[in-house]
Amino acid sequence: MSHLPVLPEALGEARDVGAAEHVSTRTTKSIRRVESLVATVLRIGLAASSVVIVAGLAAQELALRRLPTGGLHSIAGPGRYPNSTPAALRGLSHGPGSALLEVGLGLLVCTPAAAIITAAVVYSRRGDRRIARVASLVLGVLAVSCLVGLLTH
Amino acid sequence: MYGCPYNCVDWRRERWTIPMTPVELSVILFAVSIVAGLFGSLLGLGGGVVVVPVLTLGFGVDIRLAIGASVVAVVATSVAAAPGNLESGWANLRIAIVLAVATTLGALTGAWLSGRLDPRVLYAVFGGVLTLAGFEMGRKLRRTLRSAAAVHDASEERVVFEASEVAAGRITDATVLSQGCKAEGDAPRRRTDLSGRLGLGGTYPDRSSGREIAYGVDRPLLGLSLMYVAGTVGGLLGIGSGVLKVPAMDVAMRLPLKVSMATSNLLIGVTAASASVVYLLRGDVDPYLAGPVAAGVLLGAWAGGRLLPRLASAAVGWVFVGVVVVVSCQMLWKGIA
Repeated sequence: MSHLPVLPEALGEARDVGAAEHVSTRTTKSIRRVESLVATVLRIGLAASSVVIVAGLAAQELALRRLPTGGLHSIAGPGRYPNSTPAALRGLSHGPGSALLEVGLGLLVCTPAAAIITAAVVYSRRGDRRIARVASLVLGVLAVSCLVGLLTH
Repeated sequence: MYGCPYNCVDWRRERWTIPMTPVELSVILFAVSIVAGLFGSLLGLGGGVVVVPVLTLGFGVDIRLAIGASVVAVVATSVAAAPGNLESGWANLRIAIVLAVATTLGALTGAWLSGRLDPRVLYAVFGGVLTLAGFEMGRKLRRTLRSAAAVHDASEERVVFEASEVAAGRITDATVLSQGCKAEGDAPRRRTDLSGRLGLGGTYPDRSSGREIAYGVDRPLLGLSLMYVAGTVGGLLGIGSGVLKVPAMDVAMRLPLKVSMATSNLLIGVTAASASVVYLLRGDVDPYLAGPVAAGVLLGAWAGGRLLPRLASAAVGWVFVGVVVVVSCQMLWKGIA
C-alpha cells in the first residue's frame, strides 16, 4: 500500500500550484477511499444489527403474546434480562427475544467502535501514525467505558 | 421504580391510565418513536431530545431507562446518516477522530454522573437544556427570517434560504453566510501546530462549481474543550448534543457549516457509543424499550429527512418551538416538584 502524504501537509509543503493540485487530487482520492471504507463498515454494522433487532422484536412479540396483560413487567426491567455478553449468548441458545435484542443492540453500539478500529488500521498501514494513535486513544476511552459500565452495574 | 410499570400510559392522572398488553405497548412505543424521530429530524435536534420526554412524561418510564433507550437510538440515527456524509465528502473523518477523544471522555463522565445523580436533578438538567435548545431555535428562526427578508428586499432576484431550512433551523449562521463575511471556500487559514501535525484540514466538494474546496482548522484545543462539555451533556441526558457540537466546530474551530454538521453527525455516533456501553453494561438499557425505540427513531429520522422540504415552513417551526418550551417546562417542573 502506498504511503501517500495527507492533504494538508501536501498543501503546506508544495512549492508550486501545479504540484500542489496534482498531489491534492491524489490525496483527496486517498482520503475518500478511507472514508468510503469506514462508511462501508458502518453500513454493514447497521444492517447486521437491524436484522438481529428486528428478529429479536419479532421473537419478543411472539413470546409476549402468551403473557397476560401486565406480564411484561415480570420479564423486563433491571436485572430481568441478560446484560452481559455471556448471558446474552446463553440466552441466545434458548432463542428468547430479549437475548436477540440485547445482541442486536450490542452490535449497534459496537458499530462506531468498529469504524474507529477500521480507521486506525488503515491509517496505520498508510504510515499515518499520529492519527492512528489518536484513534487508538478513542478506542482506549471506549474500553474504559466498558469497565465503568461493568463496575457500576 | 417506575411511575407506570410499562403496561399502561400514565398521563399523571389515575383516571387517564390506559391498560394495554405488552404487544400493544411495543407497537405504541414503536409508533411514538417514529413520530419522535420525525419531529427530532424536522427540528434539527435529533431524536433523543424528543424521545426522553415522551418516555418519561408520556409512559412514566424511569428517566434513567428512558435515557438508556434514547442513547441507543442516537447511535442508530448517527450510524444510519454517517455513511452518506462520509461518501459525499462533507464529513471529515480525521477531525471526527481527534474530537472523539474529548467527546467520548465527556460521554463517559456524563454516563457515570447520570448513575449517581438523583433522577430529579436529571429532569431539571434536561428541562434546562431543552429550554436553551428551544430558545436557540427561536433565535435562529427569527434571525434567519429577518436576514432572508433583508436579502430579498435588497435584490428581489432570488430567495437565499429555503423555507424548510429556515423552519428546521438548518441554517445556523445565515446572516454571516449571506453577507459573505465567512464565505465557505475561503483559502485555508493559517494552521495551528496541532491541526497541522494531525493534518486536520481537508476539502469538500462544491456542487455548484464541481471543485474541491479546501479548508483549515483553527483553535483545536478550544474545540476539544467544548467537545468535552458537549460529550458530558450528551452522555448525561442521552442526547446527541449536536446543538452544542455544531457551533463548537462552526464558530470556535471555524470549519465550514456544512462540514461541521456532517462531521458532528459522525461524531455523535462515537460519542453516544461510549455512553451506551456504560448504560448497557450497567443495566440501564432495557431491550424491551430500546428495541422499538431505536427502530422507530431510525425510521422517523429517515422519513423526516425526506419530508423536510415538503412539510416545513416558518409557522411550523414556531409551533415546534412552542412544543419544546412546553415540554421543557414540564421536565423542569418534574425536577422541582
